[in-house]
Amino acid sequence: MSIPSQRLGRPPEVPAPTSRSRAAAKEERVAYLFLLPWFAGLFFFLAIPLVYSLYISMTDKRLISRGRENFIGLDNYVYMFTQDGFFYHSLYITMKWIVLSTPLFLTGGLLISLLLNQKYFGMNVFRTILYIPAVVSGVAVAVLWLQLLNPELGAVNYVLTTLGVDNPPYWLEDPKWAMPAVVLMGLWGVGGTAIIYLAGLQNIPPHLYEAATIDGAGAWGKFRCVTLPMLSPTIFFLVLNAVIDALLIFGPLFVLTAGGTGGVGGPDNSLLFYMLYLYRVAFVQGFMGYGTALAWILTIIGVLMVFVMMKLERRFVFYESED
Amino acid sequence: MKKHRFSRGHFLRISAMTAGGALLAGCSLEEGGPPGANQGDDEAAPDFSKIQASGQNQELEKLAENWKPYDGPPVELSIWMYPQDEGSLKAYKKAFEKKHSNIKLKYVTYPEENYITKINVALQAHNPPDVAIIEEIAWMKAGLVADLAPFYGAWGISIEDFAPGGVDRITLEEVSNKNIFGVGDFLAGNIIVYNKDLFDQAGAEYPPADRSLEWPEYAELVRQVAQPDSDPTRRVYGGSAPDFGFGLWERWIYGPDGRQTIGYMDSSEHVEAWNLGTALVRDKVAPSSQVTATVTEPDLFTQKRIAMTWTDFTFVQDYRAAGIDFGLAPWQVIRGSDSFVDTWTAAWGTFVESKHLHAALTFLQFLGTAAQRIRAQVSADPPLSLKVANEITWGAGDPIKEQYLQVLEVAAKPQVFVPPQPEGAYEPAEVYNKMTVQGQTDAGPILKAEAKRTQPILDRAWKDWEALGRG
Repeated sequence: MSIPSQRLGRPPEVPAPTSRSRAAAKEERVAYLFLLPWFAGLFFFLAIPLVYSLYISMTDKRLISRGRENFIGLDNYVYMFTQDGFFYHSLYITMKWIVLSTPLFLTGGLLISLLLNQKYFGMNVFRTILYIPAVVSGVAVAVLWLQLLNPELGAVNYVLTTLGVDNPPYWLEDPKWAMPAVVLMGLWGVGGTAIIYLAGLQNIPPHLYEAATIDGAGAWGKFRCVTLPMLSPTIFFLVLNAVIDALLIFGPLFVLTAGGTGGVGGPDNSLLFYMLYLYRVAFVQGFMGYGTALAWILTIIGVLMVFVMMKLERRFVFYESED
Repeated sequence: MKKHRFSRGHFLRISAMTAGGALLAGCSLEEGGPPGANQGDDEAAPDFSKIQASGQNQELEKLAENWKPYDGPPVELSIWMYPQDEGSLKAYKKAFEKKHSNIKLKYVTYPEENYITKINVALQAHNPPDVAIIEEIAWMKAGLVADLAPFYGAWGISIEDFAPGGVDRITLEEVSNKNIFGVGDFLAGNIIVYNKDLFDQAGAEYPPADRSLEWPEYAELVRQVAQPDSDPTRRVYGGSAPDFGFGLWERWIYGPDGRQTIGYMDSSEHVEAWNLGTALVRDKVAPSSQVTATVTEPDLFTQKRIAMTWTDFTFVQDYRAAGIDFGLAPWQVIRGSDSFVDTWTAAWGTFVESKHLHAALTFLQFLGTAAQRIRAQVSADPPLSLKVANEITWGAGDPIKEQYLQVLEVAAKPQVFVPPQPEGAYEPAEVYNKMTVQGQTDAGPILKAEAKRTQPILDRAWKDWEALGRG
């Protein structure tokens, strides 16, 4: 027999625990014991290096030096913002890359994914082929493109010359063409983005398209009112990743520029991305203190950009589970 | 009475203000490079107590006084380098490990452009290799490299035995019997190698072996022997004009004491060399850097696609194997200069923080003695030790080696010492790019601006250098 309150749906009153049982306390200790390796990793490999790097950024530490570093407070940061033209230049190059590459790669990936989403015979083979560049090492891709874009002996200029172009670009050797060359190289790996889009496209319930068709929507209408909103979480994820990747891009650019004119950073520093500049300052010139300060500023810029995007997410991204 | 509670907000605000005050107290704006660029000015006590000049390094001194090769438990030496002659390295390993069964050699090769950075990082981690090519003279200056001067006598060698071009690489500014930071195993030289058949086809005279051509003579010769073709794979280049070639002898760009750019870098002779040389590249009678990035000059020469090439003497074995009839000449010089051939060696040394210092010194002794003879046998190069070269009568009966000796005799001169320069210094590759890619044809204004811009950077580099460690 049940009491009236239970019949009315009210939860039964459970007496609040006055003290933890011995078993619960033991369980908690075991849980902490299991968490200990993670905490140790966090402390020794993240927290300590992070704090130490903050300290280093406030010293004049050099790679080769006869003495210990001196604590110089915010001098490195003051110098960066007031006297270092390369800092602003590298920031400009990185932002230019984000502005040029992110929309291009995302749009290219979306268009390819729309094609790959069709149901034709052998489509899986095409999907695999398109994804191959995404699994090849960035360094290998850079070496390949160095050969393809060689102004005199490369395949790209050979094709352009055959098509009647008299003075094909010098690509990575020419400050004006270096950035477009890197964008071209980046487009080659757009298959990876397309595959993520494809996963998003295949998660869109078909009944939404059926409803749109009944309402008289055409192809564009369905894309605008169904596909894009339903894909917006995927787009947001890709934008977030693209921006973070763009800030941190290093390996392929190092390979592209290290052996060429101007060394790391390309001719006239036309490819002096922020990470390349940081590398040059810290490891080539040996200004570790200043290099670490540059790294901290990059971290802050990254955090700010992600923060802004997370704010914008609420306005532009639609989640199906939302009202 | 109202009780004020010390909240977390209060605590954070006060902490932030305290930290900010401490930081600002440490602030003082420095000029000329990032803070620390003039670190050498600071008279703070150095902490390299155990790695000061040889006289103060008691451990090393004691080892030198009672020198005997390492005979302790088995060790593996980590030997770092950028690509070297493989045949010689294999022969060294075989001979050394046979003699010292308790020491194994492990070669680690890095690309040349990253090599210094790799060592710098290892030094920063206090874990340098046991033996390495001491490519960065600042390592010597900062007291990071073991001074071998006390060991030379114990090993039965003398710095005077070695060719001056190689000695430059193992000592600081001036040759001396103190502060010797390495040993070299061979003497390399940057020379011109020419294909006699291609010269005969063009009816051109061979470049002389007893003097350097001046740039105007050289440029004319290149045009004479070149076989232009619109297809780069069928073109025969007349000669080479790499970006570093215009200032190969650094006195042309930094003056005889290595301290002056204005009047040297922008001199009419240097400008003329740039104008003539880059015109050869633009006219496609000399290979551009884009071509040599794909096919190296030794490869072009082996394929008979270039009539004259700058080369390291090491490659003559390949040219012989390719059946090319060739001759040698010194490098071309700017108008009015003495003849010049740049010579050098791989400066093998060990760091004071190396883990197996005694075993490393044993290997360095081997490189300074037995390896000299091995190198002469397995590669084309002469040993760095002129004494050994005389003892084995290196080159006798071999016309190419005899011609090489003739070229070295007339043109091998010491380089001018110029300290390592920081960001923004003169970069010939940038000038080359402007003149072969970006359409500029007169080096005059470019070099004038470069000389003016580089002078204060060079001044600072000298100031840093003189303040760095010993000297």
